[in-house]
Amino acid sequence: MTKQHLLITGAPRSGTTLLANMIGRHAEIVLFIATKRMIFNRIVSKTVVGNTVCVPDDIDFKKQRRNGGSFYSVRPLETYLKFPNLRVILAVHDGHRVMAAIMRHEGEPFAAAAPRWCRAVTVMHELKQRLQQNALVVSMAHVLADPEGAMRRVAAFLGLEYQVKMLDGWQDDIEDEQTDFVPVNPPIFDLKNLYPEVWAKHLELCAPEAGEIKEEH
Amino acid sequence: MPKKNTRRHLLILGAPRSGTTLLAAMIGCHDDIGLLVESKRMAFTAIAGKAVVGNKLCVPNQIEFEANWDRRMSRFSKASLEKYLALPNFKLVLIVRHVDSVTSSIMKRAGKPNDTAALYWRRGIEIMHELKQRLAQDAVVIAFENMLANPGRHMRRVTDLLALPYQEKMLEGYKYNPYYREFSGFDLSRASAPQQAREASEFESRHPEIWEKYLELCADSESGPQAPEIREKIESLANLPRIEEARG
Repeated sequence: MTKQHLLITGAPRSGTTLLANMIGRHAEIVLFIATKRMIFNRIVSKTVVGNTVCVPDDIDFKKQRRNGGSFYSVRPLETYLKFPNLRVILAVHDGHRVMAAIMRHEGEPFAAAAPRWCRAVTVMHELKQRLQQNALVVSMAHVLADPEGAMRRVAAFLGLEYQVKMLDGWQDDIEDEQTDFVPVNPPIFDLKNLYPEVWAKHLELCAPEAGEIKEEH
Repeated sequence: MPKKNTRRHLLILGAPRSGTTLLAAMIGCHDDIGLLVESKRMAFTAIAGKAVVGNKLCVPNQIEFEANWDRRMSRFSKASLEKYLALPNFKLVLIVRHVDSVTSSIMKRAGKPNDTAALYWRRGIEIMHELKQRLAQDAVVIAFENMLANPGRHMRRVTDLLALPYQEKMLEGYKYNPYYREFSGFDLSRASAPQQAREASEFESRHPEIWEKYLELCADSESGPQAPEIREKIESLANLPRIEEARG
């Protein structure tokens, strides 16, 4: 049996855990949430194995020490890119909502939250450029509006059959309560003017997915 | 279904060379189970979306009641059973195999002397017996020989323990055994140990209290591997695919 490796990544507070819980419901998939150990080959009897990590908190192109720690808490992406049969799912969410959630949940000011979101978009954009067909962009807006359609896209991307039970993944809040997705109007930050390059990359990331969804309908 | 408080934590334990990997591969085929093999850390607790998550370890060389600190390597060389026992909704599957088969396999595969191999088996039986006493209904014992003779029945016992529906595809677990990918069926020749009766009696006289514990564990597997009806059944099951035939 040839194993496929899957990496789900996205900015913090952009729905990566919800996505992992939904995809992890599939019978042929086992997914970790934010494990730092590369132990995916120790999973038995499943076709797709992988991990869910936030960028740039858990992973980046270069390994880094965070908060002056004595060990590298940010893994290099290259470790994953060496895996055979690697597929990457990039979770993107409305920048304003992400920013508001980081500030609310982690108590960070805008000045600290914005660079994290910017770095996440930059890394994901580069990953999409490098991996092309082996990377799939999934927007949280699509997952929330049409979960079945989103999961069908993911299953097709991994070469698996869609399973209805993937829709029940929202029940598995193993990290914390998913309260981010309550449809409240987020504060509007001036991301477009403050970070025009990053904003353009964000739109570029979302554009092909919007096109695919349009074609399906 | 698998909310944080209803998720079951599973540990599969057995002496080395007792069929632990085959058992893990079979159980891991279930749709709602995510299983690791031989991970010394508690990484399986970070698996998403599965009703049952777990690990398979060999006892006593990979896990003991207390974690074993390796001063030379500056790390834990053995996992701690107490950590597992503290997990919520903890379930245990134990696998036992006849002493002759285990020791001869350890000697052949790992190149260990007979005394060391027998020590592994003895300590494994001691720990598993104590665990079965402590966990009672939350632990199931499977005799390797019985599992080969009737895998369906024992997979049902496991799914009952985990409160999951039984799935036929668990019987195809041998295909996913990471160490024996060439297998195309259950190798029933492994269910019988050569000169079993003689060597068993020797072991019995040398370590009667361990032998007694082994028999108690086998009794939980509903019938011990040395029960004549099981042996007859193994011999009569010629219609199952066998290794020699598959290799042609």
